Amino acid sequence: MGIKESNIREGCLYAEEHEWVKVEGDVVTVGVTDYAQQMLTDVVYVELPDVGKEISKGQSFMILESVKSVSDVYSPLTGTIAEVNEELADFPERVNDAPYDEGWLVKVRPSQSGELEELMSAEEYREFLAGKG
Amino acid sequence: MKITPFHELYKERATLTEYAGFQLPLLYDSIREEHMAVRQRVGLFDVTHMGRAFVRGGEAETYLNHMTANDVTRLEDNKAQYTMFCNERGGVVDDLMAYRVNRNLYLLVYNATSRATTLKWLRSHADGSDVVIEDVSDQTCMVAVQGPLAEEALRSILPEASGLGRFRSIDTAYGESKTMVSRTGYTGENGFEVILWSVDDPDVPASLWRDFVGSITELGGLACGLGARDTLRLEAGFCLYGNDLTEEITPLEADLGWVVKFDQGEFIGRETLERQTEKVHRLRRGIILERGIPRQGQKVFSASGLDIGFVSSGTFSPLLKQGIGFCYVEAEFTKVDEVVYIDIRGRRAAARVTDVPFYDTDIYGATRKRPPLIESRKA
Repeated sequence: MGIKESNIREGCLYAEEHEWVKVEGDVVTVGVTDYAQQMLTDVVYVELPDVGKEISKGQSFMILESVKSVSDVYSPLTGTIAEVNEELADFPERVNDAPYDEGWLVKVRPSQSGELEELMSAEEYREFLAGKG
Repeated sequence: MKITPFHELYKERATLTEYAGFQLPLLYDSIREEHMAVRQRVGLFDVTHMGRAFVRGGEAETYLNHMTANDVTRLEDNKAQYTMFCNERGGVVDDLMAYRVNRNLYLLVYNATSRATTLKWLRSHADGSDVVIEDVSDQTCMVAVQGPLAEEALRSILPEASGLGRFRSIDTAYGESKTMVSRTGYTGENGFEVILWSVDDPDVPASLWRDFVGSITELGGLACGLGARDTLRLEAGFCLYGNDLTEEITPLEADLGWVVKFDQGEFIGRETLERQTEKVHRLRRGIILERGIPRQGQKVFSASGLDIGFVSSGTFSPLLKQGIGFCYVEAEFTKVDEVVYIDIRGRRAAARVTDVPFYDTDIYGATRKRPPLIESRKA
């Protein structure tokens, strides 16, 4: 299969480890990109962090498992977990089916405001992916 | 890295991976869909990476009975058996299929990852006998067609093999090209393995692959990668050499005591294995988890926190939609429904000891009593 044309959502910010971030007031929603879910293949198990957990930019904060592999998800920001997508426990396939919508992973309350500016725009992420190809 | 004669036909479609020095499909579109295609319909695998060698000579039968734990004298011509080479300590050097062509000629099909060690083991023990080991792995190729519709998929391509009994083989031809078809496999399903004896003309394997892709597609089947091969064998309860069988694990510990035939006379490893018939300290068992996926190398604990063993293979079962695996645990914790705990990244996940195959054999697998449960056919 290889990676098919990968969908990039306008209005989100992107990290080099293929997470997206959407700012909604003082919390941000975090998920993995369409490119990442294609790389992961069928997600069959999601190990979510606890609400209240402190996470640091660039550190693994949760796990996505496919049939074959165990993958870390690296935090695009430093902050505190405000909410987790508990539905993924029963419907892990949503990470594949709707990575920017029902397949979101966690909501984070960022503590380092400057970090948002270090993330890529949709346009920059598109170029970043093109550079990988 | 080696490629197989089928490589050109799938390289654009598949996600490739390196395995045993070969570049092979890990998956095409989805391990889960490929897995379910084999349980419900039919799947096609490139298994050329497996080792294939002939054992030839007047002493071939005697030699093989000394080398293997099963009893080759129980074979007739065109019949195959699952067997193992053990070392003096009873540990498994390799597990394999032995096919009797005739009393002086056997074909062995063994693991890709142990091709070099197995050949060395075979040759080092053939000294002083008239037995010749002929490795034909690189001059031949092999596919597996597996699933409840395998017979239908094969019929138009290799009609003479239709109706072949389980563990039987037949010499037949694909056009002008000699092949051997056997009713064997590694998925738990009914199916066939086909060896093409020459790859000199690349058009022949290419045409064979295209024909099989055509016939399985018509039946709603899929070409499958190594990912599905692994989940299928695990669900069926089959060991993978290197994970579940090693030189440090005996067949009795692996719960494969049925393979070992003590009445065949002397064979390598017999003494240790005979001692183990009285007591084994650890045993391979199937485990199933409500939550979480066990992975190779994770530790297993008892309810009271004792370290009692390790996970030798683990995956997500596409059929049961749960984590499943094999573990080696101390004998007292091996009763069905015993609950053990797997250390998954620092958390203890409860796992229930269960019989294998993991699926209901009335509904799935080669001995299913009902026709396959078929969901609506994909376009």
